[in-house]
Amino acid sequence: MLEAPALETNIWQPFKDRGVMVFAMNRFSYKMAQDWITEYELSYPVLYDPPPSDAYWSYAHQVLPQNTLTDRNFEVIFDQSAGYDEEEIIERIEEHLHPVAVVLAGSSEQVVAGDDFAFDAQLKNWGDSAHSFDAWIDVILPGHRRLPNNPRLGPLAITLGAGQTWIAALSLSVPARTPAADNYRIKLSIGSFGADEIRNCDLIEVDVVAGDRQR
Amino acid sequence: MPQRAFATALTGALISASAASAYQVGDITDDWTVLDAWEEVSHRLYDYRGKLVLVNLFRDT
Repeated sequence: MLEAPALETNIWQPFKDRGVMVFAMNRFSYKMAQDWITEYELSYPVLYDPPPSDAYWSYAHQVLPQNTLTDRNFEVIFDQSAGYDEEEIIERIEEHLHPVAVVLAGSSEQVVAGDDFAFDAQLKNWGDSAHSFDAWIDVILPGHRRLPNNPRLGPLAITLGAGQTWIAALSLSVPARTPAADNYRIKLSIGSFGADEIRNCDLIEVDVVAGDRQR
Repeated sequence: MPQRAFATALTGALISASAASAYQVGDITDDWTVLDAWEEVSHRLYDYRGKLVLVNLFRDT
């Protein structure tokens, strides 16, 4: 896990708001992973994948560390075994980044059932030319099920010129009968809505706590 | 019956062969749902459709 501090500083921090997700995955010891997370203040998710799950083995070649990069539809575009060549990883990321960055920011980490949850959405076109796309918001329930009436907001057709930014203060009403649970997710996607083609996205997590009306 | 035993053995061999071969460039990775090291937050790969995903398999030392 020697590459972890560099992964945090040079890949996760610069690219997390540009459309890149980083997961570290381990099959052997979650205790040690916890120590490293604490010592190096790692903020990307470090996962522990014990048997009988085979997520880990579906990626693993012979020699660690290994870094596997997939595109926005999960096709493997780069696979680096037995080392950590940061320059090459960054080069491959930049090749495949979408020019429009998507950033969601929640007003808090939890919401009371029956209240509204407020959040900010920002889209920025870092490219040299204009881009047109749909933007929409889905809600993903704990257990990773999608709400049947997604999208909750949108789709909205947006055109952004080179360098332009779109900012919106949004809110979703959380019905009073929403079950209290952790890890509801709000997802903002951009792309072609009808074709379900997603070009970039961002997700935030929110916990729902029981309101007075649920007693 | 001998035929059936043979078929079972063949299926077993295919399963272990596929488990031993990791993704190559061009493959589509299967979905997974895995807990973080604190066993607090569950992450599902396919929730992140639209993002580039870097998976780092690390050594413990």
